[in-house]
Amino acid sequence: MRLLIESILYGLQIVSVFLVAGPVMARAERQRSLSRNPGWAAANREFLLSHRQPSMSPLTAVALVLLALLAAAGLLGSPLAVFAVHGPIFALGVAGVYAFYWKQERDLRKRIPGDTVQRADLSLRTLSRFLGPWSRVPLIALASTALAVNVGGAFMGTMQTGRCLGNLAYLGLFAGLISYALSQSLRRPAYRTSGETDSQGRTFELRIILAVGYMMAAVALYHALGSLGSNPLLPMPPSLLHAKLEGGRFSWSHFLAAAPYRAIDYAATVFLIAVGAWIAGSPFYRKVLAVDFTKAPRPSEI
Amino acid sequence: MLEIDLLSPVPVYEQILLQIRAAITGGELALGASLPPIRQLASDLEVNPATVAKAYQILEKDGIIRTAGRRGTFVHTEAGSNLRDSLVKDASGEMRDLVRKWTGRGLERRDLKGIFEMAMKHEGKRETA
Repeated sequence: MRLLIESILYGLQIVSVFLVAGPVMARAERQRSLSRNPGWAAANREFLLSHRQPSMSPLTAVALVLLALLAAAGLLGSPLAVFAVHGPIFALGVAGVYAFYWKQERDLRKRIPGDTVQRADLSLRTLSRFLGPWSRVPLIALASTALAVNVGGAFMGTMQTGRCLGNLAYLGLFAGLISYALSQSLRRPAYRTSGETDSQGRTFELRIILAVGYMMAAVALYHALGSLGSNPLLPMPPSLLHAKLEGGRFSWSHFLAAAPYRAIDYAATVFLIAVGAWIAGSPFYRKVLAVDFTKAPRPSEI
Repeated sequence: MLEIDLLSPVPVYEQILLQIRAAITGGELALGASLPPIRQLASDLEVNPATVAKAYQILEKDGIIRTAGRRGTFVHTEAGSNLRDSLVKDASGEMRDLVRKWTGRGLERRDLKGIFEMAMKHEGKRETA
């Protein structure tokens, strides 16, 4: 029964990422490539019509393969197989599809000459310009609390040192990834459709990254609280990294079956499904996808 | 907002520095306001960072902006008066070139003075109209 529920949940995750959000993002990137020189695109109508939409085949193919593998793993009744599809194979699928579309758009942009008129905002792009303090401060507070619980727990002797180090390694990794993603979103060149779209686009991207940050910080705090004392309220099973640091044994079946791990896994899956729907329904993406390059729109018209 | 025409006979760095000056004079950029880093502006304009760096160097030399290392680049708090000084310097240089050019062609200095006064009067009338 548990495997059936998980298969449905993970299946929805695959659909949300590859069949709901994926096509929207791929089409938006195509619009962005064409906006490199709207006048040229409109003047080269044949080129525009043949390159107006990116192929959806890679997204559909990867989704179908993952769903088939998930179904097979579910039928086998193997939690480890289900985890493999839902975890590392899913991540590989995302990476592969991202790389495919990144290369396709990069090659397309090389074929479109740059616009002879370039625009740039004269203001400094900082996080505070796009996101208010009440969206950022709680994240810092959450991550700081997780850090304090880990360090305090190890210092007071209520958390094993190896467990503390493992938790801090994950926290450091997540903090690094989120900081990098935020800085890249601020640094990337502007959307050329219009200044307004660029500002909206950046705000939306930063909100998504921040939402992922909140998810990771909440998981880190959950991990920390689940590692305190000899009888923690939510005993976290050691991950592979923790087991190596603690010098203990690691068991996949024990890890995957543990309720605290399941809770994090389900929460993360529901979160990904929700983010997929958020992206697909975003007014920013709807605005970008509505631009018709056959009419050579000027940025001020978009 | 900066707008650069890559086909213009005016070099790109000059378009950048002229528009930054205009933005300060026009109030779009306040005194002390932060400017985007060279790499960000170059990436947004799809130009070589050295082009933006050249514009920033000239503006810094003229006292219009100041760079504070890793803290970034800012509009100089004295940009207003420094801009005026810089414009006076540029105008003086162009005036001297004009005087040299037309006296070289045979015009007398008093003729040039008369032409200059007429031009000032004409521009004054145009402005009030």
